[in-house]
Amino acid sequence: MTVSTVDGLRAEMAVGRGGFRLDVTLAAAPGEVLAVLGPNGSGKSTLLDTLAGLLRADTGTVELAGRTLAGDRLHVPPHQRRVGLVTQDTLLFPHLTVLANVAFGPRAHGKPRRAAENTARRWLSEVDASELAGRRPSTLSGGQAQRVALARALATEPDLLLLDEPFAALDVDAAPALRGLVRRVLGVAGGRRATVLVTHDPLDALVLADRVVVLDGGRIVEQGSTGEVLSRPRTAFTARVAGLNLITGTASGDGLVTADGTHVAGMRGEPLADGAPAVAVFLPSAVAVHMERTLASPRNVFPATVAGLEPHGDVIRVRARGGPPWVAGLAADLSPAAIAELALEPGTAIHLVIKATEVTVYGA
Amino acid sequence: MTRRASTGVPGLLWLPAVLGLALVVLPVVGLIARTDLADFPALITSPSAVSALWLSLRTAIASTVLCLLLGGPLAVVLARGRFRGVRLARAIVLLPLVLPPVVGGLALLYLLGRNGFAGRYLDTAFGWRIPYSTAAVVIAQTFVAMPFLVVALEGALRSAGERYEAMAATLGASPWTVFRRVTVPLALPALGSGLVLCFARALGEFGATITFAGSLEGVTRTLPLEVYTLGESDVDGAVALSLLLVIVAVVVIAVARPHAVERSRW
Repeated sequence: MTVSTVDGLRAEMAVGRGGFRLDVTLAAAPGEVLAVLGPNGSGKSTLLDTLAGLLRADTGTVELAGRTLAGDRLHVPPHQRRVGLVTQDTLLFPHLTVLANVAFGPRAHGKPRRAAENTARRWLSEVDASELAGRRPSTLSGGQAQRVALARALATEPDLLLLDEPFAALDVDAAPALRGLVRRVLGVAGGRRATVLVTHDPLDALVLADRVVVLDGGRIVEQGSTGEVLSRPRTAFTARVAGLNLITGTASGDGLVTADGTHVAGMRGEPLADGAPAVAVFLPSAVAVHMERTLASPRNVFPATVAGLEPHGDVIRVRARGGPPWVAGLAADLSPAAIAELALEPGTAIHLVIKATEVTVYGA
Repeated sequence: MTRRASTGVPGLLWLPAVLGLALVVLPVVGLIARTDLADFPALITSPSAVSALWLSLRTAIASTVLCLLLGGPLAVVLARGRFRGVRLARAIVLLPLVLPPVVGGLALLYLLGRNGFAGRYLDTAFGWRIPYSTAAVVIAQTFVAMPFLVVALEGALRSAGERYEAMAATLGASPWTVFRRVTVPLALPALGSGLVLCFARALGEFGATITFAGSLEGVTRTLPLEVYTLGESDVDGAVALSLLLVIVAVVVIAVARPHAVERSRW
C-alpha cells in the first residue's frame, strides 16, 4: 500500500460506464460528513462503488487517511480499503443473526469470535439495537435493518463511511428518527473517519452534512457548505434538488430582470450592483395559483400553463410550463382542496402569484 | 380461517390435466397391482438384487460426491466468471440433459474406451481400463447427473447476485472468506436440492451405463440394469425391484421437492 500525505478522503476520478461518464474531484476531512446530492442517474452510485473499490476508475486517484487506494496502475481491493458501506436495501446477510452480521467485519479482520461479538454488541447498543441481537434479518422492520446495517459498517472502524440513500427505503414515520440517530452516532464516533452520504433528499443533507456536492450528469455542478448551497442555489438544478424555485437574470432595483425583460420583484439578500448576474429564489409554498390576472403590487404575476401535478407530502405540487423558458419547472404547492376548487389539470392556463417579500435575490 | 377465492381454472383445461396426472400415477398403480406383496421381501433380498442395490447405492453416492466436487466449482465459475464464451459454456453444460443417455455412453466409450483417444493413453501409461468397470458406472452417472446440480446452483447464485458478496468485501472479507461465509451459505438450499436430484438421476441411470459399463453382475449391474435383465426371465423379480426404485424416488421427491420443484424462496 502506498503512503499518502492526505488526511481524510481526497478523490479525483473519471469512470466511463456505457455511454455515461463520471468525472469528479472531491474531498472530505476527518470527522466531516460530505453529502452528494443528485437525481437518479447522476452518477452517485458509480461514485460510491468506485470509492469502495467495487468499480475500477479509468483514471484518477483515491487517497484515504494516509494511504493511496487507487492511482496509477494501483487498485486496492475492497476488503483492504477500510471503507464501510451502508446501502438502501441494507444487504444484511440473511443466513446470519443480527449479532453475527455485525460481528462479520471484526471477524473478517481476524478478531477471535468472542472479541468480535463484544465489538458487535457495543455497536448494536450504539444504534439502540441491542435487543435485536438474536433476530434474523428477515424479521426486522426497515428502520431496524438500517440501524443494524449502520452498526455493521461502523464495527469495522472504517476510515471512510459511505451511506448510499440510507433512508430512501423507509416509510415517512421511520426516516426522521433514524436520521437523528445517524447524526448522533456519526457525531459520537466521529474522530478521524470521513463520511460520504449520497442522497436525493436535501433534508438528509441538511440534518447530517457539513458540506454538499451537487452531482448532475456525472459532474459536480455546485458545492459548498450545506446551508449555503441549499438555501442559496445558484443553478436551477440545485434549486430543484433543494425543492426551491429559481429564476435567473440580472439585478435591477430590489429584484431582477429576466433575459426576456420580465421584472421579478423581490428582496435583496446581499448587496448587489444593478446589471450583475442574479438569481431570485422562493419556496413552492409561497406561490399562489390564480385563474384571473389580479394586479396587486408588490406581487409578481406570471402567466403559465399547468405541466403536471404530483403528490408532495400533504400537498400537491403544481409544475408550470409555457411562456418564457424560465417559467418551465416553477413549482407551486397547493392543498388538494385548492386543486379541486380550481379544477387544475395539465394544460390549464393559470397565473402564478408570488409576494415580493417571499422572493430573495442574490448574486449568481 | 379465510380462504382466498380461486380466480378459476378454465373448464377446458381440466380434462387434459387429469389425463396427464393419470399418465403419471396409473403406471405406478399398475406396478403395485402386479406385485406379489407376499413374495416382495424375498424378491428384493435375493443375492443378485442385494448386490445390485448395494452397487447402485455405492455408485450413486460416489457420483453425487463427484458432482459436488466438479459441478459445484463449475456452477460458481459459470455464475460469476466474466470470461469470453461463458454463455456458450453455460449452454454446453446442459448437453447431457438433452442428449439421449445411450449417446452419452457411446461418447464416453469413444473417449475412455481402449481405442478412445484418452482411453488408449490411460491404458498404455497406467494400465487403466475404464470401460466395463465400476469406475465406468460412476463416470456415466456423473456425466448424466451433474447438469442437475450445475443448473440448480448456478441459477441460485445468479439470482442471489453479487451484492451480498460485494458487501462482505467492504467489511474486510477476503475473496476466500466471502466464498466460505457468504456465497456457500446462501447457496446451501439450492446445493442440497441439487445434490438430491443428482443422486436420484444417478440411481436411475440406465442408457449411458449399459453402453459404457455393460451389465456385469456385482461390477456394473446396478438396480435399473438388474430390472432390465430380470425382465426377460423373472418378471416377478423385475416388478419387485421396480417397486423398490419407485419407493426410493418417492423419498427423493419428498426430500427435494420444496426447493427444486416448487422453486420456493429460500
